[in-house]
Amino acid sequence: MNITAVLDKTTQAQWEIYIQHSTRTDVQLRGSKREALIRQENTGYGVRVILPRSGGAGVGYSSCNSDKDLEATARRAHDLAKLNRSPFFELPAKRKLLQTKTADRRILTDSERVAKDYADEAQALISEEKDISLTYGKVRTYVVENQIINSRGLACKSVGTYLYVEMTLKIGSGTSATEFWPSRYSRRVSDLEPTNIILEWLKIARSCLKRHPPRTKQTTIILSPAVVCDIFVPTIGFHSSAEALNLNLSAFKEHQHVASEELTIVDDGLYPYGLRTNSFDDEGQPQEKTRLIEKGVFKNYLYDQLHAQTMDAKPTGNGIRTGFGIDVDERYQTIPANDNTNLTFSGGDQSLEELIQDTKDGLMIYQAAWLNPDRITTRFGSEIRNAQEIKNGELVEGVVGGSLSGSAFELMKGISGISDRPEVVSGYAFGCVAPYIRLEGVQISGSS
Amino acid sequence: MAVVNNRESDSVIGDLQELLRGGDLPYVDGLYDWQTQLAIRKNKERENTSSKSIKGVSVRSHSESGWTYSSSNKVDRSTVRKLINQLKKETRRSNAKSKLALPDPVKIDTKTPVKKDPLEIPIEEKLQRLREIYDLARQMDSRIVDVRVAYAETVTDRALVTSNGTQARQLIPRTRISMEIVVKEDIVTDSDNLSLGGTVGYEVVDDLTEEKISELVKSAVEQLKAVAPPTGVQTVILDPGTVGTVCHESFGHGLEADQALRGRSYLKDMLGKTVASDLVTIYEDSSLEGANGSYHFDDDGVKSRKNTLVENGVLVSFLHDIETGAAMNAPLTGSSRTQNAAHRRFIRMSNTYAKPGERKLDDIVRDTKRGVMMMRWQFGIEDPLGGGMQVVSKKGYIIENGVTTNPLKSITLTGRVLEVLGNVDAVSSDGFFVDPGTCGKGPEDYVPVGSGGTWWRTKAVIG
Repeated sequence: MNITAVLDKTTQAQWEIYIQHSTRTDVQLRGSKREALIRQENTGYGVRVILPRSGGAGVGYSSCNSDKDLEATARRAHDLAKLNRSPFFELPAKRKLLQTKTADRRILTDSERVAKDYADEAQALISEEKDISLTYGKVRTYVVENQIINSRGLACKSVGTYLYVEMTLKIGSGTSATEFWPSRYSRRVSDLEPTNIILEWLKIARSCLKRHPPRTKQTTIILSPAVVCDIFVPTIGFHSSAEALNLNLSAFKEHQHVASEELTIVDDGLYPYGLRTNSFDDEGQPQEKTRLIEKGVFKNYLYDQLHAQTMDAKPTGNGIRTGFGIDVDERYQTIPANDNTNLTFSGGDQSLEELIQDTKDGLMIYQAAWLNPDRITTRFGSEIRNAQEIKNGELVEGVVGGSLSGSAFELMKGISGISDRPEVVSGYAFGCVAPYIRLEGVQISGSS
Repeated sequence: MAVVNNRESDSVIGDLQELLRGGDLPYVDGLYDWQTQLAIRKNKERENTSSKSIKGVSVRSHSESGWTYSSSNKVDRSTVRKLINQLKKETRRSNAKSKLALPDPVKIDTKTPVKKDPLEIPIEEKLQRLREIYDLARQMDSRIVDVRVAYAETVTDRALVTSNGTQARQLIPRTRISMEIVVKEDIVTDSDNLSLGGTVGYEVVDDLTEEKISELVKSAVEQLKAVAPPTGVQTVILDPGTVGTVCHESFGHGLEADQALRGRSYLKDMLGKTVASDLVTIYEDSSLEGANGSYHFDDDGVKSRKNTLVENGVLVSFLHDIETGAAMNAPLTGSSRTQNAAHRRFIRMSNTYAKPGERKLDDIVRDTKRGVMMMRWQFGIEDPLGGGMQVVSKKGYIIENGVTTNPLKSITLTGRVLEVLGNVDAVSSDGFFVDPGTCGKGPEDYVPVGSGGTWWRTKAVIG
């Protein structure tokens, strides 16, 4: 298929095509057995057409791979663009791109074997537990090729791999049982080796064998990296975007103190094996490192093509295809939005153990049900699924139930400690390298 | 524009029929799915229109070693043949034996009728209508900083072909319009939103009346002065959407029998037992006309139906597919669903709602000395094993001496779901509504659903 020839023939306007080809192996587990094995191969593309005068943008997504279908999709995008009114912007031209680390050789070589072996090892590790059992689990590997071509001569391609692991660990038995239900994406197996992550998850599950609901109070809490990701990625990501600035919705101003001095965050599109790491963003602009918050002071906004040009700024490689319920191999079905790459938190100078030892009375929150903060107001409220009480510098009994609530940006002002080893994490939100963070005066609601 | 090409779909269905025929496997089926969508979005910054056409085919078999799926979004004959051959080879190798509760084979070819077919309305007219809605809302209050209006029409063309003779095809249109009003005063920013839609046509756009838009603007502005809710155990009055979310997220997910087979349901041994106040009756109805979660048959080929989950507080039924129906010797409930051919089929809810009661809402409020009214649910999440709950609403009010007073910011409802259901002491007869929504099985595999009921009063932990 000669993509450039077909698109040049179909539309005289600016065009861009984003193509994804992927293979996916999904092993699903029930206890010590396999519940399902799913293999998939998908190819799809999104065509965007931008008209010169009106700026109208039309988009067509398709999984039908023939010249005829591509032509029909492009014509459709062109016709839709004619109806719109939007600010005009130019798509990126060809640029020099930096090399990035996005693929794991083990997954590239035999992704199905990796998924099956991982699942077997996880099941074996969990089966050794006395009071914890596996009810359901997923281990999934992906190999995803992304390609962007546009009418300005840009043509770039990358290959990435992903591993996704989700386990539901039953804690105890009978009517008093509860569960720990973690999940995480990584780019490579070594970031989620079963002997590290599964054993860590089992330790958390064990800590909830003896548990009680929380009391209603304001207290010190330590958030796990996954919880940090879910509270701060959607909120800091949105308020750092040029779109939020343009709409007069950003709570940030350049050089303004927005957080405790301990907090430093970079949007790092080049972080080795980060989940949103790539040489180029989803419009073809080189990804880069942008300082967002430095010692509590907000520094820079993030720009995609549209906002860089309409707001007279330099693009920062933040045109990202993402959407609710869209998996890493389905991104061709979305339009580039002004979003973060990897929000990368700087580590502090204390280990996690030291942070805990340094806490007199508080809660270690391993997992909340679904934080999903309101990205405009940054408010959130979520059930505490798995936590552990901290008394006089030691982790004691488990805490399950009740809720934690507040405003993400108020929490940022109450940071009293950051652990020294940030890690690539994911929760419901995506694109984060986070440490454990200790916060003061957080509202916990319980039944007493 | 969402367009259906019958000839192309017929061809893939014909290939599946021919290639699945015969052989010595106990059961193999193929699901073909073609989703087309037109989406229009407008806000202060820009307008966007997009058109989507995503196809896929997925074949699966079941043996002692579980389900095996092969899928691709190439739907040509040679790809379908490759997928089926791979599946047959593997299932033979695993010495296929399986126990499934297969429904009687059916031949269906059906379509959900709508009042105003979106395909007959020019896109220009749809875009113009969105511009009018946007302009109307913008001028309603000077504190509005942005208005986001979104319209989407989707047609799902789905066919199931099974090795035992089912050939079922359904065309389901879903149309949705949603709106968010963002307001700002000094440094305080807030918003409110609403969404209307279902297995309906363009007529849903007419339901977004000037009166509804005006109420939404007032509600968003009111949020600027709202305060944080009180925390801890409170008497709460839940609006119909929030009641539906409690029934669906907090309760219904525990009734998905695949979770029971995994040992992951707190309701596993509760069939026939009291799980709620006797004022509570909950239905699960995939045949509810116009509702977002409705369909004609499920993805195992079982006809859609109304199931009673809880009757006057007593647990009556779990939700089943062909695997759990056999394993638990239970009647099929038509609850097997998938997001599309790229995803696995699971037991899912469709439209979950509570039966109306006998009291008027005004009467319930008057009768409440102190409490909180929770409105405009935003999201919830399941805890199928632990029986915990989380439902988040956008707004609410304090109730003092039988009157609603101060507006409240977003409220999180938590607690033990059986305690919350057991504490229901009033159910309204008025306000019945089934909200459109989207449901994941955990953090993925999203399907369209509806959830609703009328107003409930109960006790729960809020924060």
